[in-house]
Amino acid sequence: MKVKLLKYAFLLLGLVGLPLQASFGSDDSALSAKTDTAPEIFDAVVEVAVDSDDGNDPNALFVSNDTAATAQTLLNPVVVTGYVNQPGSGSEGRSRATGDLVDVYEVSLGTGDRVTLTIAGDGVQADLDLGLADLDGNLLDASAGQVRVESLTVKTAGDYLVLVGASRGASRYELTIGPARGPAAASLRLGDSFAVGQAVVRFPDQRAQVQGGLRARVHALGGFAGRKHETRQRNVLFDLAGLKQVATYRTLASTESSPFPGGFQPTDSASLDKLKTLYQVKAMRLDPEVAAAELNYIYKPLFVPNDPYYQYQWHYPQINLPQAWDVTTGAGAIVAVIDTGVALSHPDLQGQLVAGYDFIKDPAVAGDGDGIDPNPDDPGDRSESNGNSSFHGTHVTGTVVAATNNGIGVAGVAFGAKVMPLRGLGIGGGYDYDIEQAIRFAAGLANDSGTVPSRRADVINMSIGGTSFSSGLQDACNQARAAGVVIVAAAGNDGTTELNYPAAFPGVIAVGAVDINKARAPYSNFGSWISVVAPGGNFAQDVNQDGQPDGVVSTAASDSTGARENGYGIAVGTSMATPHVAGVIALMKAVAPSLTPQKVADLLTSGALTDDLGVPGKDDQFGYGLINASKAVAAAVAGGGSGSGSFQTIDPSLQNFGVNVGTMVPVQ
Amino acid sequence: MALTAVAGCAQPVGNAAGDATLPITALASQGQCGGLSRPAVRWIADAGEWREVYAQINRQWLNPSPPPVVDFPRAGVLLIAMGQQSTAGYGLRLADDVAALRAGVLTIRVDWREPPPGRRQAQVMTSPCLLVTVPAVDFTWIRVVDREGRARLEGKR
Repeated sequence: MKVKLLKYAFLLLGLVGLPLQASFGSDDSALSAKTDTAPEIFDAVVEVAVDSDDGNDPNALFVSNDTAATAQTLLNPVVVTGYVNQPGSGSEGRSRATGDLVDVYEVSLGTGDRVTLTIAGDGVQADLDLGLADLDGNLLDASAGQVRVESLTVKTAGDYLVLVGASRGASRYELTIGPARGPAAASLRLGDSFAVGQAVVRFPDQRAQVQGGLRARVHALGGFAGRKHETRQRNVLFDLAGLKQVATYRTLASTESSPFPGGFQPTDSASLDKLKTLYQVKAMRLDPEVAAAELNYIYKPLFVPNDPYYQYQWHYPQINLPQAWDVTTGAGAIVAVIDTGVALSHPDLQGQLVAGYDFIKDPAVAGDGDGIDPNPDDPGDRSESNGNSSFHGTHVTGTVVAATNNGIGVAGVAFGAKVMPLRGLGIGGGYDYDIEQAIRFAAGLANDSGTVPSRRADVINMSIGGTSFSSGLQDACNQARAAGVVIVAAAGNDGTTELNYPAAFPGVIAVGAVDINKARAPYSNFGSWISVVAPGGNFAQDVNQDGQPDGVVSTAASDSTGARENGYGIAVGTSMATPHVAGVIALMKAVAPSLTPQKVADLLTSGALTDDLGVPGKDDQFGYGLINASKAVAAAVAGGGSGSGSFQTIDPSLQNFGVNVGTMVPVQ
Repeated sequence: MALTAVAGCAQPVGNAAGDATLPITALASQGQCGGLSRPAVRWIADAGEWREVYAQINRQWLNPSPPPVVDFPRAGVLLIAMGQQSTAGYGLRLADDVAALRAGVLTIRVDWREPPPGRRQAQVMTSPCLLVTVPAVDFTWIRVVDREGRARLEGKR
């Protein structure tokens, strides 16, 4: 029978105080956004718990939590204090003689959550390991270095067992579970990519080898061949099969069972072999003959799309997009592009769109023979029969979601996401009223179509603008933002500080443009109201000498021959910069769906999404800097960037060993 | 032959070619002409130059189509470039299917289109141009006027 107990303690006289609630208010944002009504995840109450079989405390209630069957249930987020020890290690207490090898906790974890183990001991003589297992006890990942802080980040939401094991010695610990904040602690992790059965070893320069020791074995296996005249030791690649011939390693190298404390092991033999490699390298680090021992990590080249025109898309490496693609391509996110519509037949946009709408009321502007209708196909905005339409919306849409690695055309920023094409611009431009309706539709709000999308957009991209202020347009933006939609708009191309709307509305992310040298594009508007910059290009340059003007390359169309023809073209402007930012936010939403517009704004103002350009800090030329897709995705995974709140922890080294100094109050 | 761009009211010089009305045809009106940043008129007199200019004004395409065939030397091509604009919504169109030739000045009437006020525009840099085939007659000066008769562009052949 599985025993589940919920034990929560409100701490603990004489020790470090605990927060009963962690809250993270947002700093004043330069975007002056309305406060979101959706609750922030950081406003959750942080529970406190104690290890139910704390053998170090003879007066504590003792309920075993050593197995999957007897796992102690926790809430999330939570801070747990506990104690584990190898037999014969640690202070006097219930578990000193027999040992308390592992504590097992059952908890529901979300994507991006972090489990952090902070060890009171030194992490080497008192070495605790952290594991993540399924509810059957199969080990899925482990962080098992010789460090004081071990951590694991959850990739897939679900119910898990969290394991704290005593690999060596004894120690109190603090286990923290909740949203990830900042980068993970460096350690040896089962989930990392490394070669099985290999170690990279370095021996001290001036030391004789011990007979029968590791150095002698490496020598016998020819590990130092060709190095006789070298005066400094350097790394040796060592086949760990040789450990069986070294007495001190024989048991470790020969065992078939899992080296993780408590015997928890992966289900597949390949992962078990990886785990054994990890522990063998860890053991080598304790060897006085060894100066350094490391896993032989495997580095993969960044994903390079096979789209033939990707070679001209200098604007993607400029914003560290390939690095971001290693984490996410935007699956699940929706970007509404309010523009001229899209050439729905374009081959490089097939499968990349969700249903859209045409909100242009005046048929003379719409150019499709009618007023508003469910067809967002772009009929062209030329006013003369032998003219050439812009197909502007097709170019913008391609930057966001062009099908990628499909062997044709170009790549898109968030090619795993979808675009919701909405027509608001036609012949001669667009009316505010039509654009408002499109904004409302995208946000799932009531609008003139009488319908709403089955799922609202996460981001609205408006590569459109004008210098006229409109309270109606601003109100629509405010309502969309309040509904949870991030709005991104072009700053304008007059090369002045004049406000351009909707970009200049508070709460809207205003995007300026840079060229291939990360200089402000000469046409790009600037000023204190600019939020961020992204590649917009400059037609007058070919700095990278690829034979093409240094503009933004994307899907395009032309009707110069009369009929619409699909193709690929280069365009320049803050119109082109804006969908880079919209796409990056779509990437963020894919890894952190609960990100709110206010949270995105907070991350932006904290510098978590950008590379600072120009004078340090926010400036009129570049806002908060050049969007950095890799940083932005990492910030989204971390779930909070550098928010103003703090997540207090108990320092386990301050806790008493073996003596109860407080009152633990079990909660029903 | 370099692009020439002279805006204003300078008087042409050269030999008078006699009054004439010439049939002209719009080859293409493009909203984007390779980023031509300055307003200009240019006379293109042969196929080699035509290929070069056509490639330049279509360098925004990664897969440009070949230039339309022009009956050189019996005709030439007049490139009329509006210059760089900060949004979409600008364009050029022939207002007449004839050009006037008087005293060596070739005058072409166009619709010089600018975005109507009160509307939002696509924030893309544009450089509209118009390509017109004209019979290859003698003239020394080109003048482009709008429907209201205002001179928009002038230049030497």
